Formats: sequence, C-alpha cells, structure tokens
Amino acid sequence: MSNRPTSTIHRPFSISHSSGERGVALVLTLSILALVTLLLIAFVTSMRVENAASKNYNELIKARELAQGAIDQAVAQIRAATPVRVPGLAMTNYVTFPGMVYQYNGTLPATLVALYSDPTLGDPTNLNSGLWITGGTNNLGEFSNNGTINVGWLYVAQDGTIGPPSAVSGGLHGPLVGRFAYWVDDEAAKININTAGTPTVPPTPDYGYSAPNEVDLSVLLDGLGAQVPNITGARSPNPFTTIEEIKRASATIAPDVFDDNRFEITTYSNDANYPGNTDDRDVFDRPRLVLSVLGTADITPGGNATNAYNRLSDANLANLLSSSASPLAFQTKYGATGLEQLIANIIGYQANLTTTWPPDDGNTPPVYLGLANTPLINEVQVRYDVTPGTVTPPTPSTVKRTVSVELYYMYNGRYTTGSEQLQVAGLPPVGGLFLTTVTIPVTPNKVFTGGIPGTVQSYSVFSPAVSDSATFTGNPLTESGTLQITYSRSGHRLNFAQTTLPRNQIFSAGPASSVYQGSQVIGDPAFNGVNNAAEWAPYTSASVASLGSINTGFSPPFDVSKVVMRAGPIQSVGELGYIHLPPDSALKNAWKYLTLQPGGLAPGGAATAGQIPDWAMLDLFTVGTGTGGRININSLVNAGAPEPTATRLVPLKALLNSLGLAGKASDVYQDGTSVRADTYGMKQTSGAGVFDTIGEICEIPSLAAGANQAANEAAIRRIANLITVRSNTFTIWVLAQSIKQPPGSTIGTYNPNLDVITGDVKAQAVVERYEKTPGVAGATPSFRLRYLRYLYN
Amino acid sequence: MTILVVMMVVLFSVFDEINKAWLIGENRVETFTQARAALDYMSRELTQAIATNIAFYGDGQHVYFVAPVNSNPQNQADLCEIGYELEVTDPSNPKNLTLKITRRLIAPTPSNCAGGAWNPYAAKWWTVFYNQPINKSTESSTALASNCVYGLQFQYYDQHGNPITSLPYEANILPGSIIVNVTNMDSRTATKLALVPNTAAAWSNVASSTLRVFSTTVYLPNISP
Repeated sequence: MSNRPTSTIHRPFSISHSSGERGVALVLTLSILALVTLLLIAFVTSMRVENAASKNYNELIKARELAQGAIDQAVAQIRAATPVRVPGLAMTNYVTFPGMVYQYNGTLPATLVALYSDPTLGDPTNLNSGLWITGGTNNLGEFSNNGTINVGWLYVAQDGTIGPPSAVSGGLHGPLVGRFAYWVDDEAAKININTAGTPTVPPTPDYGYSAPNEVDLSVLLDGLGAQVPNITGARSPNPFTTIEEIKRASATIAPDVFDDNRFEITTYSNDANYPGNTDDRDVFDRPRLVLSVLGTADITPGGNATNAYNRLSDANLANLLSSSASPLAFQTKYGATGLEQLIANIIGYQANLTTTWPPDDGNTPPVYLGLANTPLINEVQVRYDVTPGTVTPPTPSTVKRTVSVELYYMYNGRYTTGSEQLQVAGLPPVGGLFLTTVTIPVTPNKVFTGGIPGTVQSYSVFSPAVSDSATFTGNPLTESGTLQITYSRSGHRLNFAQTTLPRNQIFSAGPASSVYQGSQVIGDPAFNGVNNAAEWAPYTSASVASLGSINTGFSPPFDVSKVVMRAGPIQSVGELGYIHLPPDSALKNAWKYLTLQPGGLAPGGAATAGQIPDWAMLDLFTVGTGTGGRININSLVNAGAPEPTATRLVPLKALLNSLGLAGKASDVYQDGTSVRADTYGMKQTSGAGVFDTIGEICEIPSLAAGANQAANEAAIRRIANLITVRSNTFTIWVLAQSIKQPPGSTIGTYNPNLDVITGDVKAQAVVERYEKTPGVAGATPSFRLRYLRYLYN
Repeated sequence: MTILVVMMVVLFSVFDEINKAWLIGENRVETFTQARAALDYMSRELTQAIATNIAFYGDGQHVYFVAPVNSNPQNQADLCEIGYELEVTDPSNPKNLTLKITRRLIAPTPSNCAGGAWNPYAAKWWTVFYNQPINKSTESSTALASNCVYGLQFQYYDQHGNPITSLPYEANILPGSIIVNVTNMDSRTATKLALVPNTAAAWSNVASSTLRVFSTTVYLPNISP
C-alpha cells in the first residue's frame, strides 16, 4: 500500500458551475416571479383604484338620480294636490301653504295634503340641518322653531320599491340602494324682489291704491332693508333672475346678510308664462273679471255665463264659504234687480263723463241705472201760487205752478255742469190746467263743491225760468202723481228718481193769495232706480220746503265716509267697498255700501246667518294688472301639519308696513276669537288661519281698526291686489343619499352603524304650475322647471 | 445557454405583449376616465342651464349658457356664464397641441359687476367668448379633459325631440335636449400627434385605432324664461 499522500483534486469549477447554474435559475425564477407579482399587484391596484373610482362615480350619479326622483315625486304630489278645477264639479278649491295644500269641496273637514316626505312614517330628519334652506342664523327669530323642517326618509330598495322604512324592510325588496327626503316651499309666500319696493304716498284723495311696490322691501332683515334704492336700481333694466342676484345691488351686501333673508324672498311669484294662461283666476279657476271693462253685458241676467251677473248669482261660492245649510248667493242677498243695480253701480263708479257714461237699461223707470259722479236728485217740490179771482164781478183765479228740483253733490272734489237738464214727468194735470211733463234746464258751468251730508251743504235748486200759469174757476183738485224725475247730461240719463206727491192739495178761489205745495225729500239720493220709493217721504212742513238746505228728516245718522266716486278705472279691488248698495225696502240700505270688514255678512255689516259676505266678491274681480309679486296670506309653514309649524312674518310685514300695521302681521296666522273669529270655508274646522279666498282677510279685526267705515277698509284697499291664497310656483328642497348595505347588514333596513352613505346630493328645484286647458274636466296641470341646482357634500 | 436565451426571448416577448396589453388597457381606461369626467361635468352643468334674458348659443362645436354654478358666496349671484369649446392648439402657441375641452366661465365677481361697468347679464354675452382668447380679467377657464380630446360635437333637439338643424341655435328658449359627442384618445397617442403634420390624413393614421366616441344626452328642463 502506498503511503503516498493522497492528493485531493478539487474541481471547484465543475462543482461551482453546477451549483451556480442552479442558483441563476432560482434568481431568474424569483426575479420573474417578483416582476410578475409586481405587475399583478400594480395591475390589481390600478384596477381596484379604477374600480373604486367608477363605483364612486356611479354612487354620485345614483345620488343625483335619486334627487331627481325626489323632485319628480314632489311634482307629482303637487300635481295631484292642485288639480285643474272645473266650475260646477265637486272639487272646487285648493289653497297652498309652504309644505301643505288644503283641498275643500264644501264637505268638512278639508283635506290636508302634505308636500313633504312624511316624518310620521318613521325615520325623521331635519332637512334644514345646517340651515341650507332657511339661511343664516341671524334670522332665526323669525321662525317659531329655529328653522327645523322635519321630514321623513323615503328609502329606495334594489327592486325599485320606494317608501318609508316599513315599505322596504323585511328583505323582500333587496338591499337598500338609497334614500331621499324633500320639502316643498311656496314661492308666493315670499317677497318678490322684482316687484316689491318702496311704498308711494297715495294720491289725494286716496280712493284705493294697490300697486306691487306697496310691498315694502325696507322690512328685510339684517340691514338689507336699507339697501332698497340699490335693489330697485339693480333690477332695471333686467330683473333679477334668481334671488342671489340681490347681492348685485351693492357691494356692501355681505353673503351672510343675503343668507339671513333668502328664505323670505323670491323672484318666481309671477304669472305663468304660457300662451293663453293667466293666473289671475278665482276660486273656481275662472279668469277673474276685470273691473274696468265691465259693461252692460255684465248686468244681463241669463246672458253670457261668464258675465258678472251670473258670477255673482252662483251659489257655489257661498257653498264654499258658508257654514249655513242654505247659503245664499249675491243674487239672493240683494235681489235680482238689486244685483243688476249693484253691478251698474260698479260700472258707474268708474265712469268718467268725458269718455264714458254709466250704464242705463233704457226703461222708465229703469231697472238699473249706474250712479255717476254728478249731483243727485235730492228733493222735488211742486208749488201752486194761487191768485184768486173776484167774486163780483166774477173773474177766474190764476194759478202759477212751479216745479223745483234740488240737486245735491255729495262726493269729494268739484263738479261743473255741462249740457244738462232735469225732466219731471207724471205731474198732476190739475184738471187739464197743466202739462204733465216739465223740463228744467240746469245752469251750464255751474260748479258744485262736494260735501259731506249734514256738514257741508252743496244743494242747488232748479226751476223753470218761467213757471207755468193757468186760470181756473171753481175749485180744481190736484191729483196725486207718480213723479219721474230724470237728470241727464248730453242726452245721457245720469240720475232717476220716482216718488209720489201726496194728494192733499185742494185749492180754490178765495179772498187771499194762497200757496199750495207738496215736497218730497229722499233719504239717500244715491239710490238710482225704481225701487227707491220707500226712501222718499213728504216734507213735514206744509208751508216751507227744505229746498236748498239739508233734508233734516233724513240728516243721515249713518257713516258717510264711503261717499266716493272714482270716475276712473278702479285701481284696487278693495275699492269695491265704495260701491253703493241698491235700494231695498226690507234691507234698509240707505247710505250703505259693500262691506269689506269683519262681520260683513249682510248689508251694513249686520250678520245674517247664511248670507254670503260682501268680501267674497273680492275673489271674483281683478284690476287686470297681473299677479306678479302677490303674497300668499296662507303662509304658515306646514300649517296644520303634525310637524312643527313656523311663522314667516317678513313677507306679511312687508305687505302691511306702509299702513303702519306691520305689528299685526302675526294676526294673519291666528284663530283666536279676539283676532279672527270667523269660521268660513275650511277655517270652520281646519284652523291655522286658513284663507279660502283673499276676501277672508277682511275678517281680521286688527286690519279694520279705523275711525270710520272707509278707514276700516284702508288696509284692504291697499293690499287687495297684492295677496293671493294659492301659489303657482314651488321650490322643492331635496336631500338624496345613495346607500351601500355591506354583508352583515339587515337587508332592507337601514342601520347607521353598518350601512354606508356612498353619495350625498342636495338639490333645489323651482317648478312652476300652469294650465294648458283650464276649466276642462280631466285636464291635469303642467309643470316646468324654472331653476335647478345640485349641491354636493 | 441557448435555452436561457430562448427563455429570455420568450419572456421578453411575453413581457412585451403584456406591456402592450397593459398600455392598451391603460390607454383605454384613461380614455374612458377622461371622457366620463368631461361628459359628466358638462351634463351636470347643462342640466342646470337656466333660461334668462341672456340668449343660449349653440353650434356644432360650441355651447354657451347660463347656470347656477357659482360656489363662492362672495360673488354677487349664483348664475354664471359658461361655455364649452374644443381647444386643439394653444392659442398663444399654435404649435403646442392641447387637445382639450375648455370650460370658460364668467362668474359674477364683485369686479365683474361693479358699478354696472360690465354687465354680466347683457344680451349676446357669448360674443365675449366666441373664438376669442380668454380674458383673464373677467373670466376663468378650466380644462375638463386635456391632451386627449380629438373631437367635440353638440347636437340640439327641441322639447318635442325634433332635431334643430338650423345652427347656430341662438334663443332665450333653451333646446329641449343636447347630445354631446366626445371623441377621445389616450395621452400617448395625443403626444404622437404632435410629431406629425396637423392634417386630417396624417392624424387619422396615428389616431384612428385609438379613437373612442362617447355620447350622452342631456335634457334641459328649464326651457323657457
């Protein structure tokens, strides 16, 4: 055995080569795996990001679509609650409030339709959280509940079911995909910043002035009221399109100042801009009759169904307002001919004798003859001056007949006569001695100065220049006669009176001169027609007439503050309070006028159960200047709802401020007996100060606290054109959220601890209601969007 | 060694294909994302377009309208004047492709409204915009999508759904609906376009395979003032 040392041959190359190749493969493999892994991670990350972005986008779109769905639902709700009214059909009236619609068909109680998602069905929320609806914090004193607007969430399930929590729970409809809540505001219950302004000093005399600028912008909150000149300047020539543009008026209007006012103002309370559409409609959705264009066709019974006579003869209006089982229409209240005379008086009140004449039916005696701004027939006297003949030798006696008529101008201002004359017909012929008709000229260019009866005498007596004269023998007996006295100008009959002379004048030839006279005086010279016979009475003294002086027997103990004639187009519907009532022996209407005051049930204000109040007439007429800027007096937020109600006083203050009655604004909301005790229409059971028609505001005593009848109605005359009881424009406030229900959540039941709000959209939409076919049965109102804004959280 | 080379070639080929696929996917995602964002932005604002005394203006490539999109309470109204235009090249440097949808905005800033010196509500306000460079003293602009928009087209329909064929449409009554077509590509392709002459044929060769057309119909509910 060799003891040679064993040499060890190392083959590091081969050995290391082999293991190194294996290492390279490992490195390569790991590198490739790492690269692929990185790529995969990058890809997956990218896809996840992209997926998340897509989902977020999708959720936002979903929330926006939910908001749109809420708007659509609110519009559908408004459409259903405000159907096209059809005269004569059962459903006759609706009025709008912020958040509410009241419907009434004459059967109590009224139906309340909430224009919001109902919080009483579960899961309520304050939609105004953050005050994004009502605006800033400095105006919260205006609200009785700090601006809380409670509404309920409506949930949307995967299968499309929409409803309160109970409607989508139980897992039958799949997981929740979103929810929304909404509340509908009434734009007419706000101040229109395009029409309101600075009240003007009414012209003197102030018959009635009711222009949109009487809504006083100076009551705006937080100093904005001091910017009125800038506001009215900035809206010309282009009016404000949106309310936020009010900030254009001045650089000093800070955002928070605007914010404090934005719940009070609007730019949308206008007539709907649809061809042939007018919003100036009465309670039965008929276009209101324009007072200044009323004519004789409006007086005709049985004439055009749309004429004033037929409108006032419609008992449906009384049905809506009265609590009586047998309500009476105006035709019943004033009688058929009385109603004709009443309409004629409305027309005559406006007649300017240089251009128009009061209506006259042409008959003698007239059924109706409108009053005119002229002197009125006040007294008539027939006087016989007898100069006796001699007995021996016998000579005939001579008698001179003098017919005198006293005219009396009672209105404000002056009146200058033109080509005028009086005619007295029906005189006793006295055995054929005299003609039965006498014509008496009225002195041309004679100036009458108006005066209040009993205080200022503005009487003038007219007699023929030459009295009739005749001779007789024996003892002729005068005959009683029904005198018909006509006062006319330029061939137009302006005043007519009919009375009977007493049959007590027997004169005979005698030894001395004798005077025989009979005088009839009228209690109310403004009665103008045949039915005024009861208002005439013989003058009490047999020898001395009251010609040229006050009719003491009828020195009116009445309030004569309404002795007014416009002699021009009516400017305010409230001027109807100046319309003289027709004569009525039963009602004793002397010196009485339509009454636009509390308790205005019957002529003169005497309450009679079942009588339609005179103020109901306000709803039937208009002055035709449009409805832009009218303020809804049904303005209590959520009126009558189980949810918190809130006052919104600024618009009502703006309405009443020029009258010094801003402090009475809250009375509009009240029901207390000391504030507003009436129970008409829906207010019979619904309370909350609901107004069925604009005239009902006359029942608020604090607005009628004047010194006399005319002063009592000063507020009504000022605001009658500026108010409404229903709006045609609504703002829909929406909060919509998309929801993701993760595994573990109860399908169909929202759990705030588990479910995720994935999208959140607030929206504000202004929609306008209009009618393409008003008054047609089955027609539905149309809506158009005026403004839409999404706000994203 | 050979095997290694082969493997590497195969691997690189695979990577290259993956890379191409990746890029195609990326480009497509980018194209979709940009188009989606632009269309959503435009449709959201167009939906809120409001009819005012200011005329709406629209033609095939431009649309100008008024909408309540102001978000700055310091401004003096909520209504702004908005325009969408396709900007192919930078107006200040026509050789520089921008390929973007420009949103032009005149906000009712205090300076814009001050003293009535400039009336943001004047009729034909859009003449301030149309084919005019941006006036930075009165207006601002935003790129809704940049370096990716090959074409932008508007089609108008009345409220009954009938196409409005007489363009430009200029009226106080808004169209009932607008179809917005955006032809998009990816930014890489857009970058390549800068390298070829600005001719339809040359651009078509480069861009045709990547172009995607996106459309949306926007309903304008505020149709009349």
